[in-house]
Amino acid sequence: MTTIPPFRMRTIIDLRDVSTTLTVGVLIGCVVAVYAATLKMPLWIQAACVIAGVIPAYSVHALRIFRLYGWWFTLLMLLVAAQGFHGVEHLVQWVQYHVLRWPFFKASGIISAANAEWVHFGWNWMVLIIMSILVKGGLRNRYAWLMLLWTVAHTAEHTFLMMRYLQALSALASLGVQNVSAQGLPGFFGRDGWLATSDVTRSSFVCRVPGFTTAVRLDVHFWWNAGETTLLTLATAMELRVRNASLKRHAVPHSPLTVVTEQV
Amino acid sequence: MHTLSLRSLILGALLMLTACGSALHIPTATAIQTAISSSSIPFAVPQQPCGPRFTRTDLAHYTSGGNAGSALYASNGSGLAIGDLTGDGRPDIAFGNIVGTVTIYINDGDFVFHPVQTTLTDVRSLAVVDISGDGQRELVATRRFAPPIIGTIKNNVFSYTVFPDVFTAFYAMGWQDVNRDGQLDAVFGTYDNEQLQHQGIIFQTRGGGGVFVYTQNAGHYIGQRLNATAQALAIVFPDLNHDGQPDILVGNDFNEPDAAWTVTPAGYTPVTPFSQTTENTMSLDVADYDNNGTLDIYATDMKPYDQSVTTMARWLPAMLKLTRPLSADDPQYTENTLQSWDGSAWHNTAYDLQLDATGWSWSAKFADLDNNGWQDLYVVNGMKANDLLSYLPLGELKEKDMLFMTDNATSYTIANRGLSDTGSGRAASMVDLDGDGDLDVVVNPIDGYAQIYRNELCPTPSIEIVLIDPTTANRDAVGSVLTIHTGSQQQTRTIQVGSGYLSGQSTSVHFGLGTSSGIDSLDIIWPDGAHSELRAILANRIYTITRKATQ
Repeated sequence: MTTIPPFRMRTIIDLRDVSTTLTVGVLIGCVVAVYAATLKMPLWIQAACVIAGVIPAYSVHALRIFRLYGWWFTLLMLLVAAQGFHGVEHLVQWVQYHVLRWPFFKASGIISAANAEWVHFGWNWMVLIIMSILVKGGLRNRYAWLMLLWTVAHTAEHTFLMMRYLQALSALASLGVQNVSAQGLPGFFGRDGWLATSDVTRSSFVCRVPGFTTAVRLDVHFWWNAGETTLLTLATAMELRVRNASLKRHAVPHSPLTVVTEQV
Repeated sequence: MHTLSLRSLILGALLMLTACGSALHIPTATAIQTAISSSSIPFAVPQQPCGPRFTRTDLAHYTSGGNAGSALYASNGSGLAIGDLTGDGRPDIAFGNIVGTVTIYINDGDFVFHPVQTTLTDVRSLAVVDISGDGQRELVATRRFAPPIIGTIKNNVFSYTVFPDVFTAFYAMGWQDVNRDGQLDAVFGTYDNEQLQHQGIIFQTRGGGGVFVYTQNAGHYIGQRLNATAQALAIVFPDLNHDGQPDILVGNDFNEPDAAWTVTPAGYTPVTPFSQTTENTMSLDVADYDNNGTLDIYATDMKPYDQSVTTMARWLPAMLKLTRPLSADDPQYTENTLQSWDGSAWHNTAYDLQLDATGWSWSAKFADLDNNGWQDLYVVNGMKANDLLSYLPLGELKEKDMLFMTDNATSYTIANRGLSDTGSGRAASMVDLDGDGDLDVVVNPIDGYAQIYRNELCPTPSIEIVLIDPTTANRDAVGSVLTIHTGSQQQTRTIQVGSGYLSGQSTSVHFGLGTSSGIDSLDIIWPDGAHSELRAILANRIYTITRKATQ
């Protein structure tokens, strides 16, 4: 019988077990990125090529995790990794705007083409669904509940944005305008958002709460995702600590963290 | 059409040689008490029935841009001016025009006007100014492709001459005793994009444009060029550094940063007093909106007045064409600003007060329209441009003019009161046309009939003050600062001949008094810094205050 190591936070990003695949993948990605650069393709495509090189290695890693720990841990790992990357995207965007002082429209993160209303909408619903599954599957500490609440609110904001986006496209179409995007309209929170401009809140303190109704969209969504990433990380860390502690207390392996195998 | 010739080229070169840095001979400000005399007449009895509303009258004057929609800069429209051109004590109105001619409406009293037609076309800014201080006010106009003119009315006939010593086609205009020599000086600004479109590259070889100060000297003007480029739509004279001396602020369109100079005995010093500004400045107004005794500065830009999907869809295609790549540290924002002085710096409070978005805004002015002692804000808006707005019917962005009313200056209510016209307003100003103690509104739209809105307000205490300074050539005391005290409240105004967008205004000053039956005191700071004070003044009268010569 072999007791496999407990699932820890570092397991999510520890790719030493797939280092060869990772190295090869990233190298190929870099070569393709350089080729893309010679073709004068946009910087985001070049960045995407390098990032794409990580995907095969991470897929192998995820498959291994699935075999060792089952679907629940795999899903948790994928969510933490994906949300972490998404958070970095928003951090990069924030740095581009506030530190590098890039123009607003240019500060679109690493993969700028993904900065689209429907991508944000789809992404947030995906996070909400996965988070709900994880909670149902046992992720139920206080940070997890907060994270679920945060995700519901964030998804509601993106649903509101998506509705406005589609309505604006429809209104543009009725004016005969087809080639103009409605990307980037203010949402519920932030500068020029619903709270800041609605007749309902007009002249009340609500419409001028620092940050909530004054921050630009880029900042609003940076904070949405910073909160989400932080809460998810805390929820995961707490859950793993509890489960690993429980594992230590009980000699009998009954947790999903321990797999009994026949020694060959 | 006046030809811009070699003469303008030589003058441009000469002006460059005398540019920034020249010392000014500004007399030291004095804080002496100056004797005054005053007389007053009661307000006219207001019309009945009365109520909180304005009644619109369309005049026969039609401001035409020709095919304004297809000519972007023609659709910028033309200005208006208000002032007593005939010397009968009543404010007259001059409406500018682009393709058509300027019309002057002589005020016959009781809201009756008769028109005087002129031959002037292609007019931008207008102002009624007593240039020489002889008691006879002139009409000054800038023109699109020719130098400014000075005109007068005699026996219902308007005649004009070209502005002396000025050879450039200017757009925006301001009047102030800049060098404090007791004579009014003119500040002009060009609208370079229009000149480039009209003249092509030769505009630059002729010396280009910019902001110019023309100081009066014995009937002649000495020009000084403050900078070489401008997209000037508005010029005002706020005291930017609070040294008691009005400075120069020029609002520029097209992402060209607004330009400002402090005026000191050392000369004109370029300054950047604001941490946040408008990006396409359309209009500037100087007013103490919050009654704290300090004059604030309101600037308009282009920002949808609401964020509804319908409104945004009408704006988005144009916004995409107009938006410039601004970095995060660029002080320019595409929204209105209200600069307030906190004792050490200017801060923009427009967003906090929800005065940041008023549509494709043109003229905007503060004025107490309901006589409650707090200045309201009126903004005219809308745009016509066949190319830019080709996706809208007739290439026109129709928007409701916006009236923001307040009784505390901390929150504003959007009101209608009959002022929410959807025509394409450009110039707008407020003045008590019928002498009944409330401010009426005058609007000059593009491709529309000139409008006057009679204020039907029921009698509410107010006063109107007219300053006369016969001791200097600045007879209308332009640049004076007046502060009234009523109980615990104070209100401050400054005398300007123009503000907003291309909008001249009367030099008489109106104060609403709320429930007060009079004012405790009136403090006057004359343009040369001298002080005068008048105590215990009854409401509902027009006061003419004349400065006496110092013994």
